[in-house]
Amino acid sequence: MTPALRVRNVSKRFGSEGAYAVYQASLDVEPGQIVVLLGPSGCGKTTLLRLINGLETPERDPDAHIVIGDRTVFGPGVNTPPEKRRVGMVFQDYALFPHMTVAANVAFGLHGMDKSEALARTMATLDQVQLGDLAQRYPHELSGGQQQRVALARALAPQPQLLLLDEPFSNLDHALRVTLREEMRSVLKRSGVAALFVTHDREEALSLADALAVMQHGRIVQTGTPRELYAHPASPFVARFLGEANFLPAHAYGDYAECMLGHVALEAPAQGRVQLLVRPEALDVCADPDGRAYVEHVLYFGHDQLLSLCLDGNERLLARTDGASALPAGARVSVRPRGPVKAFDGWQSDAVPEAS
Amino acid sequence: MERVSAPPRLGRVAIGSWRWPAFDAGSLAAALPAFLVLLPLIGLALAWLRLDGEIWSHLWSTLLPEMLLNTALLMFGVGATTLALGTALAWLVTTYAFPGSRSLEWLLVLPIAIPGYILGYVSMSLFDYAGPFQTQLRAWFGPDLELPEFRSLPGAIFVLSLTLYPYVYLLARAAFREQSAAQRDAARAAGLSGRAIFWRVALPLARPSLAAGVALALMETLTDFAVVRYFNTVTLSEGVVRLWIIQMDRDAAIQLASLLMLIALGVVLAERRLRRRARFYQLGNQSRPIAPVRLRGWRAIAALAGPLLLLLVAFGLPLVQLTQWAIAEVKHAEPGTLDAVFGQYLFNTLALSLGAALLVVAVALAMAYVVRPHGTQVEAKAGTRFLARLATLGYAMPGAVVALGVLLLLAPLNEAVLGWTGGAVLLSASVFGLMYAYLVRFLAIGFSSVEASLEKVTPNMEMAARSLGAGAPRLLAHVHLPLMRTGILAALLLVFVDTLKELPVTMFLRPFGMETLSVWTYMLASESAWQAAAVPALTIVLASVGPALLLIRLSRASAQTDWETRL
Repeated sequence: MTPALRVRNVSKRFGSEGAYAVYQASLDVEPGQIVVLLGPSGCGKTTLLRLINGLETPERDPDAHIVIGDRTVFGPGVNTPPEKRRVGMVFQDYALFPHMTVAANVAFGLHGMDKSEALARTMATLDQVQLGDLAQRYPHELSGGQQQRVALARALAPQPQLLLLDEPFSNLDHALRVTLREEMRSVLKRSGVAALFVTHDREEALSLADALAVMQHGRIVQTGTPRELYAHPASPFVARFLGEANFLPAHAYGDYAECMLGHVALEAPAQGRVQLLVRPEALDVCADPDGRAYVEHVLYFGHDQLLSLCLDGNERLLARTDGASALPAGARVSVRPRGPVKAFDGWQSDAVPEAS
Repeated sequence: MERVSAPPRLGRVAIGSWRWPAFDAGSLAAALPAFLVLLPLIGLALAWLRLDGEIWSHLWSTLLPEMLLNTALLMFGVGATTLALGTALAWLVTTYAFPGSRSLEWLLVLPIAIPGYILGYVSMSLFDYAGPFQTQLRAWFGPDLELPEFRSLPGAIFVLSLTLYPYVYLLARAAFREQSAAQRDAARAAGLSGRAIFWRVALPLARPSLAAGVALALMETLTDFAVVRYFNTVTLSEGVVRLWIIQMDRDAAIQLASLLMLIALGVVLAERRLRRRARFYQLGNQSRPIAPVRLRGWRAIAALAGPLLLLLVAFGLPLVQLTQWAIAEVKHAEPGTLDAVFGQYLFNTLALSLGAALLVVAVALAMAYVVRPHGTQVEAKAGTRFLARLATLGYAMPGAVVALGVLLLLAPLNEAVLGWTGGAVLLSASVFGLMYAYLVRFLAIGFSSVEASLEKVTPNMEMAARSLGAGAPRLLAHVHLPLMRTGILAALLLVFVDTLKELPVTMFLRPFGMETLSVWTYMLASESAWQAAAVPALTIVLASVGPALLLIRLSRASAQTDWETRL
């Protein structure tokens, strides 16, 4: 099946001497799929969205392509203007037209369609986001969450092949964000549109995505399902960006390594200096008067707790354990990884060399 | 929806498929109006190159010392009075609630609708020796009552302050409104009394706005030559007009005008300095407006009576007097004569004002589109913004300076055109020169209003519209135009009425025989034909009331308002 979006080797720099905001990005979104583009602010994810919807023009490169459905919108000799790309957009600030009613906002993209058909489509789309009864209101009369849903309905109404969402939840409070996230996922799935969703919030990314693409310094550093990326990050950066992580310097000898936790089994054989990735929830912590670590402090969340452990030699570790086991600050404990752990070559830093 | 800070701008999109090359064409296009506006001023500044010692020593030995002293005293007097009046009144209406306080809030803007050259002569009739006020006082206290001479510098300060305080009032009111209750609560929690809060919190926070308001009042003061003439006070502006029009000493007028320009620049720079050291923003929308303190009993009466008395003197009585005169004039005029003259002058005025409004708003629109950030720019290039700011400098310049600058600039062109056309066309004393001068003088007003309205169209809104398939024409017609309509109309109205009231530029540059209502009013008033002057004067005042009320709706506080932003 043709992907809804295919991006190949797309780069963008601002000014001929400037650093690349996006470097050789390649990405696929399958029909009906929700792909989340995740990265810290300034990593180039919004620029990539703007390259896809045509608001920025990628660097000229014979290998650079952007294909939406079966239409090449950017490539050698091709650069379709944004209004002809038929890509839906949902913005962080919703960007609703303040002088139009909700219905007129949603109908804006149905220009040229038969009047009664457009009206029917508008109402159907509004019903889809459960705003049918607010059709005659103006945007300023709606709550933030409602405005957000109007923005979604407006983008969906022309039934685009591809929907781009630029941090659409970042102006909402946390509780509303969680509700809307589920609601949006089901609306997107029902409408069958392919969506590319930009965020820097990992919880949002992990829970919404069918597939994730992690960006760093303008490059897409890893793609895959949320589970794959969480369990098998390609770099310490990805590991850290997707969740809390401990990195332990170690020496690897084939299928095991020696580190401050002692002898640890490795997922895959390695040699020499490595960094071990140990997720806090993958540590077993037991009260042990002879243990090599003690509990520095405890963040108690009810269902679980986050322990900050201090190892002899002043190294610190985070461990997430069942909320039931009471381990007071100061208690001596023993710490073991629950299973084989992942090793990264070298005691490298997170930095990927900057594209130049 | 509350937002802690403005949403990050993702950049602006060029309209349609044509894009501005990032800097060059954009800054060039911004440079053009800036260049046009600055050209006359530069021409005038060049007068310093041909500094004529003889003229200056002559001026120095005659009127210059008196002019300088009077100008300084006038600026100090008007500055201090408008600052005190404007701030006090703004504090009163924003901090206290009493019967009538809501109406007072907009009524207090009305005096701005009576230009100085009208209020000046009406006050003269009311408060001078022969006027009803002094006559009544003499009837009560005896004929030997000694009162200070009204035709004097203090009289001029009195009149100018009454018509100019609304500039300070408007900006101060907006600044006080924008301060948050939380700031004042914090001050109160720190143990400050109400009075201490005013002096130590509210006033320092409002300082940039107050400076902007006083600067506007001072610019108007510098422009004025009519009021000071009624009040027998020679100032620099008055001197320029007299040298040029009465004594026909053009070189001396130009030299003096260039000095006047320097003083105006000084006002601009002083205001900038006061501003730069203090940029106070209340981030985001204020969470909670300040609840006004309710006044009762004699306090409420005093709070209402004081401002009402001021309004009576600055607006009510002059309006009544003008109306009486106008009715008398119409009754006693020879049938037909008044109609014909009035009709002709009214037509001239309306045509000029409409032309100026359209020209200014068209240039302002072009400039606003060029100045807004394009592509991924978060802000417009500093260079482009600077040029745009320069283009609004004309507003700070006294009318006589602008007029002479335009005349100087067009003089060589004139000769060329005269040569080509065999003397049939004269550029400088033509509608062309007049329009050019209006553009220089009023571009700032048009630009600030238009630019503010263009800001309502966010970059994301444009992106949304384009992603929904809207090309340039639909984007303009359905997004830009509806959102900017009010701003454009406001700009048109403000420039229209400012041109209608405008006196010095029109005096200097109007084509021979082409009188306008403002020039007509001034001519008659300066010949003490008060009753005859009332008909055009009343027309001007009534036309100005609407825009005066518009100002209060448009006024925002001015941490961001520059001196050129009088809205």
